[in-house]
Amino acid sequence: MKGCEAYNHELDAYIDGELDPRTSELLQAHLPGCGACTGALGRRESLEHVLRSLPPVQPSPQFEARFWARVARAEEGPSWRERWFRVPRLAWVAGGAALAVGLALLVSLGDPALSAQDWAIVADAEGFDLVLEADPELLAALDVLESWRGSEEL
Amino acid sequence: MLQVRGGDRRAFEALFRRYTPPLVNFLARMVPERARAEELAQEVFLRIYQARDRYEPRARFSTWLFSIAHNLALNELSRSYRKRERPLEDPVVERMQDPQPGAEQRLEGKRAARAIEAALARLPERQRAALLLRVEQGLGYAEIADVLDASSASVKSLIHRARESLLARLDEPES
Repeated sequence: MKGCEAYNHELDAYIDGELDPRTSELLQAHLPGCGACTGALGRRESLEHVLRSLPPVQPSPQFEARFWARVARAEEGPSWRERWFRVPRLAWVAGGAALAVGLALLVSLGDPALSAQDWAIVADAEGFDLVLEADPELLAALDVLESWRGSEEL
Repeated sequence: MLQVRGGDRRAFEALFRRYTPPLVNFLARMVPERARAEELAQEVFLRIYQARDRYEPRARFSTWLFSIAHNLALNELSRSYRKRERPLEDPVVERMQDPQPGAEQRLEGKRAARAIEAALARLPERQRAALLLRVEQGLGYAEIADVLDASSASVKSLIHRARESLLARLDEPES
């Protein structure tokens, strides 16, 4: 013979029709003489009634059309942009790190940084290029400048 | 579903139309936003559509469908919690139109439904899923166990605790 607490645990399975036949018989025999269990069963049945009467959430009218549009997109396959952004995050990190290392190597193995004076010479030379394109007669002047720069570097 | 596996698009459309309302309803009670629930429902059908030629009838179609839906809902809730969103803050009843003037009973019914929906929204996910699958979808404990990847005894316990929690919350005085 079970007590009320044990039966209380069976009430949900009972109203769901999931209680085994033996326990169900015992519970049915217990209920008429037990106000507490009868009350608990009544409360559960009321709750069940309210739960079943909740208004269902309906799909929006465009649901089906949106679904088939989605199927069509999926069957087309991902665009180049989607494929690009599907690259795992780790690959992005690894690529960024490799790029940074590459740049660092390039800088360390390349020519030493130009001094302010070097930059001034480059700027002057570019200015002469522009002039030369406009006036080829100054070509000789550039030769003079180049020979002068060469002697400076030596 | 076997017809769907054979490439019968009309058979898939029939399944789609039959299961869309219960699926959207289930997901709308599981995740915070109605629009997101619809997106997840579409994702469920898309996965089924894409896997149709690999379908093996080991379980009922509804078990397969709600298993996918439940997993997607759990992932979504996990993301929501990470973003510190509160689940289901806009109960479905709040979005319904007001009852006609003088319809006292309908107003009372709306209040009760609102209270139930708010209490449902605060249940732990597995309790909520188990109860919804039982009450709204009419699934048996064994089938719910398959959906939730749990034992029938666990489902019995989840449903018992869900109803206990709902009754306790409904007994609390309204704030």
